[in-house]
Amino acid sequence: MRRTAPGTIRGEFVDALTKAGFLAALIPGDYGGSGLKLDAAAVIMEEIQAAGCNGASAHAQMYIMNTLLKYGSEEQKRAYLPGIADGSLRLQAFGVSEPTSGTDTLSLRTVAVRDGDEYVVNGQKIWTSRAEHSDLMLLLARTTPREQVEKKTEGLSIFLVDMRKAVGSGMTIKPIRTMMNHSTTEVFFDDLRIPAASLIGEEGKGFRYILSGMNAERILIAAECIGDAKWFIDKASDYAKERKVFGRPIGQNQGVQFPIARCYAQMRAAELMVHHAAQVYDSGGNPGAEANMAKMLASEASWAAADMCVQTFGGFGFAEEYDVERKFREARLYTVAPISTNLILSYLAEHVLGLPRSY
Amino acid sequence: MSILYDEGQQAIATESRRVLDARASKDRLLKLLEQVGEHDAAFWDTAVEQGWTALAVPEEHGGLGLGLVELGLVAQASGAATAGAPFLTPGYGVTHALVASGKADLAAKYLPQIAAGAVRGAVAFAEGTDVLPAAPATKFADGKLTGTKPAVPGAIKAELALVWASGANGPVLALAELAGAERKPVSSFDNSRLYADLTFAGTPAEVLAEGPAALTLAREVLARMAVVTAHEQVGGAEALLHIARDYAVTRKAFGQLIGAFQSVKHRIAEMYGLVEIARANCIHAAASAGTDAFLVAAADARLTATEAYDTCARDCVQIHGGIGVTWEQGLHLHMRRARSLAIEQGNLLFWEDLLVETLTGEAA
Repeated sequence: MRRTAPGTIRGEFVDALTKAGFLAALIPGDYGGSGLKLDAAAVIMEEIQAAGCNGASAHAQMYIMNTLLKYGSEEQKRAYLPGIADGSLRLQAFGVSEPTSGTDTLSLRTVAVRDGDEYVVNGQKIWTSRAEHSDLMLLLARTTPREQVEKKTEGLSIFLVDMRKAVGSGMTIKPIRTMMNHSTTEVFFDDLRIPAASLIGEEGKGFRYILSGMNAERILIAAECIGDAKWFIDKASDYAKERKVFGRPIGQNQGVQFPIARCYAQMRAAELMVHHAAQVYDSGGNPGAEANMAKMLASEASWAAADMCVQTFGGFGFAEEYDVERKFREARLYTVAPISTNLILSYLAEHVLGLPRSY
Repeated sequence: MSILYDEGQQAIATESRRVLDARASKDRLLKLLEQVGEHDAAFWDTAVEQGWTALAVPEEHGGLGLGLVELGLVAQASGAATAGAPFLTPGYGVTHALVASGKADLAAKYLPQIAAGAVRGAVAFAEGTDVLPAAPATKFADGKLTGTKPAVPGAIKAELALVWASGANGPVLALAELAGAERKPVSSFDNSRLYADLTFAGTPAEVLAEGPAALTLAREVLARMAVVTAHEQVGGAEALLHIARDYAVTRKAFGQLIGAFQSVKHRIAEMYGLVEIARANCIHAAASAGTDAFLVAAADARLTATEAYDTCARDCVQIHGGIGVTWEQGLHLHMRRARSLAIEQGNLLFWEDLLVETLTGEAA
């Protein structure tokens, strides 16, 4: 396995995934993809992680197009989906979070104002992953001021922005260094002009359009967490069988083998919820609760397994050559992103259990 | 601030443990579980005879003039014995409220009787899940109390109660003789705690404090009682630690002592860690009484002692396997007590909130 330097994305890895058609799994055959269900896509992401790789450099290519596929015009779909399917067009950036609105999406401040055949965009996004490695960006911006909308969920619109044209003419990208090799950025909009045809679906309905995509994203990332947990558990089991201390394999100690076994049970339980959520999604139901629970349980299972794996490896857990420390750093992200555990618990408390809203 | 126990304090610890070990009877305690309205009279007689009721009462009122450190040591021994009478802790709460309120006449009237064990105190602050309600439904007006305090520990038998009520000018801390109050016994999983719903219907009461001073004093009383209870929890947890250890070095499975299995011995080591952390917090809290740091220290003691007792109760049963859940073996005495003590003097949420509020200056 080769490691990539901080701040870079290994193009060969993304290219290999694209050429094999993995990233086009969810795109229908008519548009050059393989038209698989979400549950199948989840297996792909899980396997990438379980092999020790990090799908975060490419996973968005798989699911961001969902909004375009569901709500874009036939013309837009014909124009972009085949390129996304064959990898010649990279749609990997999704501009949602802002410095003053993280999970509180409805309070975002980036605005797009209609001016003839164009929209003029002003504002700022943060935590826009892979913006430096993407040709297109799905952008959520306010088109009607918050105080003028009837429903609070209205007034936001979704645009497909061609970043190849935008960078340098109103769009500026600033990378943010992170503790693992995850490419994320701040994106600034300063009178960026985009064609009115960039609008997806109807103006003002963008928030509704992205919700379904968010469920897909959560399920796929939960699947990645399951893959991570499997990697940690396999690594730890193998090491515990081979490494000898006090004349016997360390895995013969209950203090070592029980934590591995516990992580395995935790992972398997989470795995069931991930597939259940994917199946609810695939059968056309609303998987809001299941997708959220899957992401929470899977990210906690992978983080528990990561911690266990470092403990099992002892000092070697910190040595770069074993990859454990790298995966450990990568696994830490998913109890925070793309939605934090707190908000998942709030969702379950409020929408599933009927408890009063707490925020 | 931390302390090392001095010789006198060590003697209290050793002697209280010795006396209780000699007089404890598991059979007696098991019988009490099935009776509503009965407490462990033998234990209470011992407490009075040994002067534990007088420990924290000032000398001028017939007490020993000692404090939270000494009472904590006795509570630790009582906790280890799952002692079946709930009067030491609330008696201390009432004592502190009488002394701190500066009501000399009331102190002179009641403290000698509390010291002699003739009057047993109860503390009735909570209503429902609210440990110290901002606006209690129990009212105080014209020298009389009206309202119901649910499931008050010791209330089936206590003679005197310290009551948290609403008055004309904010909260009131009032002292009422219980002869005129109605007591409705609560059948619980730990019956010797003597829980009863106390109903006041124009019951005469004396004001110890009102307004903001009442809140300050109520919190102080609750915190002091919580520290006594935390000691009791540590005593119970430590007893379970020893029971688990003793069993692990005698019981064999698969041809070897179960204590040789890491999952058993590591669990016992973790129990030891929890007990010692809680004990340290208890000592620190008892020694901090009267300082600005007391509330935080009391919360620390309470939180860690609750965790220690709960965990030890659970793990000790687990280590014993099937025998651990039998009636005769009696580990359930600790399991029940761990749960009743976890709720008396405010549950974990209450102390966590109080800690957050004290540390940040904001209500959580």
